[in-house]
Amino acid sequence: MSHEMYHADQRPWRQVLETFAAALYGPERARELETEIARMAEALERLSEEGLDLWEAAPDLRGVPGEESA
Amino acid sequence: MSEQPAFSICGLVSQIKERRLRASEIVAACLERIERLEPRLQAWVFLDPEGSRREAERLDRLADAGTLLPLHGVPVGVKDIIDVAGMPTAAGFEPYRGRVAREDAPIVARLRALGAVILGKTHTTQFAFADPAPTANPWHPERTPGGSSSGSGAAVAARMVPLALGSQTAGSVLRPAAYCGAVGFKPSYGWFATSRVIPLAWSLDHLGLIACTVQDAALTYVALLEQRVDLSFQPQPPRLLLLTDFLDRSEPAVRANLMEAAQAFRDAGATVEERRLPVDLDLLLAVHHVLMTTEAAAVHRENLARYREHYGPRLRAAVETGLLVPAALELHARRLRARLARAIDELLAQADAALLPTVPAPAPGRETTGDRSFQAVWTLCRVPSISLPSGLSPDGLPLAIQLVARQGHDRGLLQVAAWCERALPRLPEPPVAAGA
Repeated sequence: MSHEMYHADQRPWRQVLETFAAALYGPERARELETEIARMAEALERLSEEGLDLWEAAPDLRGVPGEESA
Repeated sequence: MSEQPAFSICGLVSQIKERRLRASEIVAACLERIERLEPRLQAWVFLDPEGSRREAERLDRLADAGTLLPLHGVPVGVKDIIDVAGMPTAAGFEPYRGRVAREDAPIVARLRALGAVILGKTHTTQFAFADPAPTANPWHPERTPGGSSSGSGAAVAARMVPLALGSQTAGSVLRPAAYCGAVGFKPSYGWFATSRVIPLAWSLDHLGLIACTVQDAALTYVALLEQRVDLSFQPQPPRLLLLTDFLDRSEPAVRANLMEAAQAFRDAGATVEERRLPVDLDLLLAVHHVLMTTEAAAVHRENLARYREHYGPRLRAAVETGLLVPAALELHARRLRARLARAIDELLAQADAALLPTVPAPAPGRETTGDRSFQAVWTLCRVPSISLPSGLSPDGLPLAIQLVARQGHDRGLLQVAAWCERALPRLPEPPVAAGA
């Protein structure tokens, strides 16, 4: 995994996802996933703009079967 | 709109209680209507006419012996991701055809204990995602009924049944209700157990109710949780926040309809204040998209590897893309979710409910299940939301308003919605039913 992934200002998400997709599914399927990858890349870029410091709350991992009380 | 329509749950329950109707008569009438309309609508993937008739006759014997249950004889459709004992749960997935459930999902068991009659399973998009089901919209055969609870929305709107179960991971209860002209209610996250329900995204999946009126949704909700009938709603004029971010993204007919509804509410005594969201709508949608897609990928990873050719193109693409997202980013989304939900809660605490359109435009064509963006925000924040029909577009398609309240304020939201429903026009029967 490239260290560039952790530098949000470089916005590498589309390239990263396309590289992963080509490695996992082959280049043809990666091209077929172009629209979905673009949408996810845009979402990840938007999330990456939001900082969270070390003292913010831990992620809420509830909602997994067996842990939810409802 | 102060009277209950005859085909409402409230109306049926009253008539059963007064011995003016029997369960077997109600079930027979629904089965006959389904037989007439189903060739055009395709709302049902499985029907059990004989089992339904037997159950209705059993309920009639109970009534004759003096026992009346809270939902005595009410016919119900169940979305085909929810287990009903003795019926298949296929979830729109070919390899699951003939896979018969051995046990009821808890919500189905509770409905049966309340006297409801499960007529059958309604069509869902595959695994409750976005590849369209075969169901048509009762208002126009070339328009989507919405999804993923497509059959449930169409069946209630066409008066095949007064109640149907759905589920919502983004917008899949409220959007079909809106497009089909029914009421769709998604309570707070975790309001009812989701065991024996095929998951899509565990931290986003909510069970929901589709009914003809708010009173029906409220009666069913209280009956499910408290096993009693409560028709004692005394709604008061609410304080509403009209969220203008969503108006900015709506078509003109939807904007105009919402503003008319807001004015009708003001004229009837409500306070309606315009407000902006405290956080970026696109950030909310981005967080929802990352969480839904990565969780769906976790749910479907093995099944996709085994049955790739049977997956619909949209679900397959979502799962394969979800598998690409690094875990640290998924957890970042989860942490952001908590921050966003707190900000939304602070907004919702300032009024009885927020008001916005359910969907940005009327039902589109059948190549899609429609736009989830106006519903997904509330699913992400796990708060209760409800869609009410609010009129017809210039080309005769249903329009709808959405009300949202703080997490855990489900009853308060139902009270607000019941009040608002009285100030809104009642829709006519959809063309598919009128022409039958």
